Amino acid sequence: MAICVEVITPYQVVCTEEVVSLTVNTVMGEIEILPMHRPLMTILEVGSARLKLLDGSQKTIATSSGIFKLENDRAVLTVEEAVKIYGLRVASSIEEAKMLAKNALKTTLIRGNLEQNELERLEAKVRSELTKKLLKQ
Amino acid sequence: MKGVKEVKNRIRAVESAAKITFAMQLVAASKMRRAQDFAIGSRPYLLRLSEIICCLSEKKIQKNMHPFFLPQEGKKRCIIVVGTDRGLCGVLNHTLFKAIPEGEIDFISIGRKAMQFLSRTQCSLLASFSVNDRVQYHEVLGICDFVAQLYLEGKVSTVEILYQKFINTLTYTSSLQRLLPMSGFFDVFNQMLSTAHIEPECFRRDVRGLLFEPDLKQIIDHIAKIFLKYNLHQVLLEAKASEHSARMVAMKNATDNAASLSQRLKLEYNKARQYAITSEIIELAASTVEYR
Repeated sequence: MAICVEVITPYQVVCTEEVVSLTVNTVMGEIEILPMHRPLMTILEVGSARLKLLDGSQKTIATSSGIFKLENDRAVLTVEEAVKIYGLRVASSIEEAKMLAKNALKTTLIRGNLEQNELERLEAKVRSELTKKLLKQ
Repeated sequence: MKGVKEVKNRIRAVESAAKITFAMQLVAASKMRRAQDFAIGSRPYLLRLSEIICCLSEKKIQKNMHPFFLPQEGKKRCIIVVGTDRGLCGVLNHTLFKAIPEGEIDFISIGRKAMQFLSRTQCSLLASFSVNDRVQYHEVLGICDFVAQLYLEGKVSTVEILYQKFINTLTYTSSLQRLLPMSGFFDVFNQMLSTAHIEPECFRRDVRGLLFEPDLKQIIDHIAKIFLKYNLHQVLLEAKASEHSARMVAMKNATDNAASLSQRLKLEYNKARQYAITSEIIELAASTVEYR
């Protein structure tokens, strides 16, 4: 037995999952929904929805206020904003940003050297052209 | 036959027009893709909200319920006409204005073209709004508040919205949708399901009956204004998607027409040039014979 959960915002369907239990924050307090729960419609408070998946793992979605409707083991959270907390990789994204910055600095350094080389090459070319001109004269 | 120079000038004019229409086609295509994504992406949210409204409007309406669910007395209708701000979008505005019903109706216009048409035809125009291509939320809020105030003060008995509903890039239809009152929403919801190609079976009711927490009145109060705002927002997104699609198609047709016209003119130019050369040779030949 499972509950089908859908989190929908005006911009996209944030998540569609089959879960064994669902905990939501309503105006009446926090409630846990299990399969075969009585059909329910209630107002959601700003908070988080915790989804316990079929494989035992847990997912959390931060939601704004909205309407929660449960009917035929199908739960729909119609909210104005929702953010998947489980999808965020804060630590790894910081590491990624540091790595990007390091690479960018390294590339700039190499490019700086190249520009110096280019300058020397151009100077040499100018010198040789000048010598040729002087010789002709 | 027209002169060579004259035809050449026409070819140049047609080609420069084709360049402009092609650039406009590209701009409209990029705007169209974004507008279509927005319109299609927000449909599931409105569908769910409509389902909830449908559930609520089935319940027995009590006197102390939210006024958006209570029908107002009187027969005066208010129609919001969603036109475009700019032209060059084919017959989009024309077909929309043809669908405006007759009678004692107050109008609200969205878009410059709708305002121009309603003022030109001396309709009772209450207000005129304008929304940009991104359909900002604060723009919708202003319209929403104005409409809600009109309805709550009892100045109008129904609020409807007339717009071009987006179906696909080549197709859009004029649609007159009721916004207020929200009671008796079942038909509107069924229409939405059929448009989205969803079987009503997906929304079958549980026999145990819904439990409302804390109570039905509070839920209705919470959802009524949200639904009005997002319904209006969705309508505007659909109208923008239709507008950019229509403009893209119109500009594509204009570019194609310019290309075929330019080809025809080039043929004419070559004929004129050949005619000039031939007549010159004949003249030369005639003068040579005379000289001998």
